[in-house]
Amino acid sequence: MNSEKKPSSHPTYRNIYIWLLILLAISIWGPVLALEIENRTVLVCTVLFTAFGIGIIKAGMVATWFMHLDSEKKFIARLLIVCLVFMVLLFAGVAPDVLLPKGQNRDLDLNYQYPSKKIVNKKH
Amino acid sequence: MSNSFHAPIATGRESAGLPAGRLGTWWVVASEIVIFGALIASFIMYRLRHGEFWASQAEHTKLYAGALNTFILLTSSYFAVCAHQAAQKGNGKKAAKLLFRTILLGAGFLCVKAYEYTSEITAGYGPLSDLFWSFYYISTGLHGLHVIAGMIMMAIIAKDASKGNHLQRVECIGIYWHFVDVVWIFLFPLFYIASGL
Repeated sequence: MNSEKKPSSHPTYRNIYIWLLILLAISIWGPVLALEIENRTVLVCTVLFTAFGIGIIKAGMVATWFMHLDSEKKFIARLLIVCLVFMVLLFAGVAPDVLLPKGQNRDLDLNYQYPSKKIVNKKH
Repeated sequence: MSNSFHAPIATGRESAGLPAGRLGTWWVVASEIVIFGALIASFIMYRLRHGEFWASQAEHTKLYAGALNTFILLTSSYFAVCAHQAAQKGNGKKAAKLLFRTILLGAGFLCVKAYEYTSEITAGYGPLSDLFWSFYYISTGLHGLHVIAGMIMMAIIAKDASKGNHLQRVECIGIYWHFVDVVWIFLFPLFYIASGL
């Protein structure tokens, strides 16, 4: 069997690194600047995109070009995707219990105060 | 008992069309995805459940320390991939030099994390203060342990690589290190920059 990777054409590692730093700067400053936005929906969308959307892009760049998934055997990518699917299944299976306030066998106290009193409010 | 030298199996054997060492590394990465994935998925669930309260807690994490650590890990990943490139060209000395730079950056990451832990604990935000902080310390602590493990493995591999031995291992440790970087890329927005939501 042939273990050689397929030849891949990708930007130079230096360019990828520079792009990663640019995206990092956007992901730091985007949510900070977005706090000025008054419209709640626009604020949430901006924060979600600049924080998590760009995070996903950065992770994709690292996985594709630094980990060489673009030239790796296809079953490796599939293997990793299966693991991610398990993560989604875990979320989907447990989320109703955590997120829904009422259920067939329970009734969550929505006024429950989480134990924040233990936290000492010192200047941080 | 035979005293004859046996080359490591991962050096010469292939499985599923890949060198056994690289395939093993991918399996490690896959199992780590399940571990960190479960943590992150659980965190997101509780973050949605306790919206405003957890958002107020996230405001106490140090954004710039987290950003500095992201910068450090991205830079270390760049050095790791350059080390792989050097190893592919058969330049073990350069690969080792770049791996040692990566280790140095890993140590820098841990120093920043130690500073963060110290200031948060002295401000009253310990692992038992609240569920948010339990998640914070478990996730970042587990990630920190992976950084330490990566640094130790990298030191061993760099020592060998400097003598021109086992250069194929440089790629394996690179894959592992990039994965550690990817995990941090997701932990960073979760704990540091989503406090406005």
